[in-house]
Amino acid sequence: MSFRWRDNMQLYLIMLPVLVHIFIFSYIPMYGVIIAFQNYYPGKPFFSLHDTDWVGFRHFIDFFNGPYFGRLMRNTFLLSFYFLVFGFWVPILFALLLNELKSGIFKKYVQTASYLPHFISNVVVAGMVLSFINTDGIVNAIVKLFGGTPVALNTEPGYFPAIYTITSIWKSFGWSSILYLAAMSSVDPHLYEAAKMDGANRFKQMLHITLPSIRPTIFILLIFAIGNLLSANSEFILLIYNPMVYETADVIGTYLYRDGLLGGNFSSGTAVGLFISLLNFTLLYIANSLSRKYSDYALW
Amino acid sequence: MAASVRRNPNKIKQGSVAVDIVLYALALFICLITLYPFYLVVIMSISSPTEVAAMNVFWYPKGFFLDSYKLIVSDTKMWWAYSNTLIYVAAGTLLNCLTAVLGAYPLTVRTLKGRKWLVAFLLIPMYFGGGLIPSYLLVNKLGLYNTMFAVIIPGMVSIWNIILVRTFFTTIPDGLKESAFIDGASHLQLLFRVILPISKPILAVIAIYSVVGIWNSWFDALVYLPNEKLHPLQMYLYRVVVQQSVDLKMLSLEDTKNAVANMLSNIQLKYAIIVFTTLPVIFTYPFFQKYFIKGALLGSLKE
Amino acid sequence: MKKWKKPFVSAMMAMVLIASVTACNSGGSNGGGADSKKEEADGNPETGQKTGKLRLLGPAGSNKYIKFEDREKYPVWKEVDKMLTDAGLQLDYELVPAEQYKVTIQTRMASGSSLPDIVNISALDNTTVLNLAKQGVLLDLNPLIEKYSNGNIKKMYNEEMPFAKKSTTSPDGNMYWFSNLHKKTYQGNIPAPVSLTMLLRKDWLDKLNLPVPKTAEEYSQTLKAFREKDANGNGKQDEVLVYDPSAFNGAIAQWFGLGTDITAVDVENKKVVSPWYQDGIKDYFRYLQQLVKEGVLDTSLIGATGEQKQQKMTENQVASLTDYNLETYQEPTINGGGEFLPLMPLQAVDNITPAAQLEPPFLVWQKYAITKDCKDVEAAIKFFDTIYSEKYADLLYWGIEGQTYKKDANGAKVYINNVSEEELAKMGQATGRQLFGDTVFPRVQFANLEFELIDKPQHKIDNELNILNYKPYFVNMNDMYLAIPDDQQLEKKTKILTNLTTYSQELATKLALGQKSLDNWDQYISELKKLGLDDLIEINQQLLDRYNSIQ
Repeated sequence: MSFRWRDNMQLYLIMLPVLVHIFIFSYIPMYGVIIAFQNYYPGKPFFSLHDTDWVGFRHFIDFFNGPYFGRLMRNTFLLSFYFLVFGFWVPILFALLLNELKSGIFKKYVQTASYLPHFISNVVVAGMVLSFINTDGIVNAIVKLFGGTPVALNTEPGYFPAIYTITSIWKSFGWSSILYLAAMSSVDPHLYEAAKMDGANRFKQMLHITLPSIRPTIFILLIFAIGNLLSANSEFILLIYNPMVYETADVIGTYLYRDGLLGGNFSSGTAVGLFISLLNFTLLYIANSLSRKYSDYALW
Repeated sequence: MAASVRRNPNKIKQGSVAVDIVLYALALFICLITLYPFYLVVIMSISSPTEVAAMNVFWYPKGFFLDSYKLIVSDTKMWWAYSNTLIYVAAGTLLNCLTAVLGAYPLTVRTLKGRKWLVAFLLIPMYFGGGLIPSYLLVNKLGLYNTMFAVIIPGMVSIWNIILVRTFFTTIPDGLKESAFIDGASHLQLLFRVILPISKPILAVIAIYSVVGIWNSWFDALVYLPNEKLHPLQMYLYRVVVQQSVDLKMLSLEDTKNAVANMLSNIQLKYAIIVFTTLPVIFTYPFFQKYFIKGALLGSLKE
Repeated sequence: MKKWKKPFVSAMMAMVLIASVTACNSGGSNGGGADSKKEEADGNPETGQKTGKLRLLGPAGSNKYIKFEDREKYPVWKEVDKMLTDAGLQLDYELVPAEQYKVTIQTRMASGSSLPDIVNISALDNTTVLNLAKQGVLLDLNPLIEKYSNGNIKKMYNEEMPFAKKSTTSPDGNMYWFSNLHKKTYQGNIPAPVSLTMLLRKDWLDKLNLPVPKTAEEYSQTLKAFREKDANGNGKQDEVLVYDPSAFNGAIAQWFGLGTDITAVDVENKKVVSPWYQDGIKDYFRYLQQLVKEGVLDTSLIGATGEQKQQKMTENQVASLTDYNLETYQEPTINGGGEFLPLMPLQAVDNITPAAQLEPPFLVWQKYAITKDCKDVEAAIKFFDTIYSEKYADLLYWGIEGQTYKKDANGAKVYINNVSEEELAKMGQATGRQLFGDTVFPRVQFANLEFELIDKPQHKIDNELNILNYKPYFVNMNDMYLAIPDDQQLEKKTKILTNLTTYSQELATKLALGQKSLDNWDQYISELKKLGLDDLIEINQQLLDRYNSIQ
């Protein structure tokens, strides 16, 4: 018992600096969420007996009852959902592909190239996307080449989710694959040799050796991706949307941005943020519980 | 299944070449579509501003214009920002790696009491925060406001990194740890002598995440560093981009003149700044790359 | 559970420890922004004045070439500096990069401690500013002016710029901030608005031998002809109209008698109107639908950034757009050159007189306040007395006679150096506006039309002179005519606006593009009402009434 106790103390001590840091810089400022239940503006005290304008859940209720609540929730969810469904496996496949290439300069080039889009600021990417989908842009040039009629891609709400999803995948898959590559590199090469001796072909090696080696990583990332199903990249959407595609493009983040332009949205913005965080956290919890039940991997 | 393959070994070999060709072609294609945008940025940065404004540059630079680079290089503030960024990146990356390892290891020990609660303690801040102003007040109270520490200290722990490292640690065979304990090693010794040497891939990942993350960050500086002399490099790009998004409809005639002039000169300058601010960090990747290569850990595993 | 407590207790202790250590480490580094400098002069012994020390916080100017930090090399600064020294002021500036200023001022105000004496609070939203005033963070200026002013402020606010009080008097009757004041006149005292209008490529008209359109119908025919006859000669039908139908601030809307925003001020009739309720609205959308159908209106530029619109301009594809009638910044960016002709408002519907869209000749904007932490209120008022003087206004807007401006034959001031700002910076011949305007120094501007008309082509001059007395008109800055709202009005307004704007923009765009039908009009109107359009009109009418009642 006393060994266990000392052992545990040792582990806690190792973690202590990190825990203290998180407590100070993440937990202490959390009192700020109470402004979700007030009418706050910069300069007002957070707690004050006579001066705080408590409004209870009014900001939440206003948001729920707002005319765009349904649309905003749907768009926010769908855009993240499409990214999850169509984008989650791309970095995994890409990492597997790289893993199959023989080491060499070419492989290094491909790898480096793939993560370049991550470095280009949203503004430039948005500019490029918009010029590609323009009526006289490259996409429509290809459409015309195959005998189609050009479409106004940026004014038809139906195309927006595809544009957003494809761009997001393109921008992130190389960068995301780094983690999988790292996980793959820890596989004992003997395993491959043994498999070869057994006559397993490359596909089988991949299926039975490489893939299992990155399974924990896949599961953890998947759990987090599900726990992020209500957060779309509003910074990027702001740059490529317009009133005509609000129907499919307006998400909570962009709505709050427009709200903020008028000012005084500290409290309502915090309220909406808190609501979304709660939903995301719930999703994470569910995903983790399911994962623990049906596989060996879980966050806790 | 295995038996059927063994019967015809030649088929695998032949198939292998075809598979290789397909794989290489695919990789080449991916390489092209991801390389192009950066290539575009580079050729934009050296094309003449009018061609850039007209978006006429697609395949090769049009005109030859290096004034943007001259402007950047001759700006002493830029070099200040460069050296600041190097400090932030160096300090931040070291601290991030250290805290990720220290935070992750105990969570992988199954005998640790309250492990579940510790994970919850880590996860909650990933979802809930108090917003900008409480953080500012804290940083101000700690006396960090308008000092370099305001960027380094709050950012020295990344919970996401801790979780990634922890996931990696759990894949390490228990046998390794047990043999160390039999030798009487403490947890710290086990961590630094046994686990870390075989965790180079994940450390490389954390390092590259930190380097790139800190290199690209500007928000903390925006909030905590009103003093221009402490600004990191990315504030440059941020400022150019913000200036460009000024809503012209809100300005009077005479102010519009300046805003338009500003926008025009920024259209091309933006690309030069992107090249200038991202090239160095892109070249750090190959340095870390060797840790991801299959079999790199052969040596350490054999020991 | 017992085992659990210890780590947390030690965590807390470590936290306290870290806090105290870091606090010590960085003791000397608080405040002290990008640009702080103590003036040398220690009072003014000759006049026996005591020195007033002031700390000022504001955004640094965003001018690339003419920078406040190089101010010593500009003669205009020496003059201003002398004025400030003569007033016995010793100023300590903290200028934060402009892009960063909004966050800085929000967080500084939130911390509430160690505020500067004078602060530029323009970046804060109205709700915050009014609440700060209510809290006593910003001082009421009226009693201070009564007590300490040498009369300059009153003279400027009451006599020279009588419109200023209307925009800056709070519902409680107090005044919490000073502002930039601007007045543009012609021939000494005629108020001179400039207009935002449809510009049309004049060189294309000449090239294709087309007449200047006199009606909306002719305008549309002209644009069609530009396309069909390939006005830019690149072999493609790509000559377009750049127009954003989502708001009503494109000048075509005014041809149909429509206001410039969801709610707009009809200045002459002292009424707040909404284009959604105005007669010409359906015809307006029909007209836009026609322009879209003919491919004249470029739908890919709706909601586009300035950079994307600039691309079309540079590629010589923009046939027409909304901009200032006296602009000169578009033409030089056209590849191959070009010339824009500003159009007078065009008749579109039989019984509706087309309106113009004007920039008001009197402007009030930006906010400069004195905070509760100000130790020497007298000095602060002295600072603003210095600012609101004719001499300062001259230095700010015009600079120095013989160096940056001269007087023309009729005595109107005109600029001498018509060169780029880069050149001006090299010559050290900037005006105060370029060097320090909008930082912690308010802009006080006595502008005139005379200098705007110099070097302008005759067709632009003609347009401007015709527009001077043109009626009816709407203004591009409706808020200029609305008094400051009280708490309830403000809360109601902000609550209505986000949803209403979203709906209105979406609806207007879809109607213009024909994605929604005009047949369901009543349904749209009832939706607009449900979102609070009527309430918004009512509140703004109250604000307009109050604006007009303030003397």
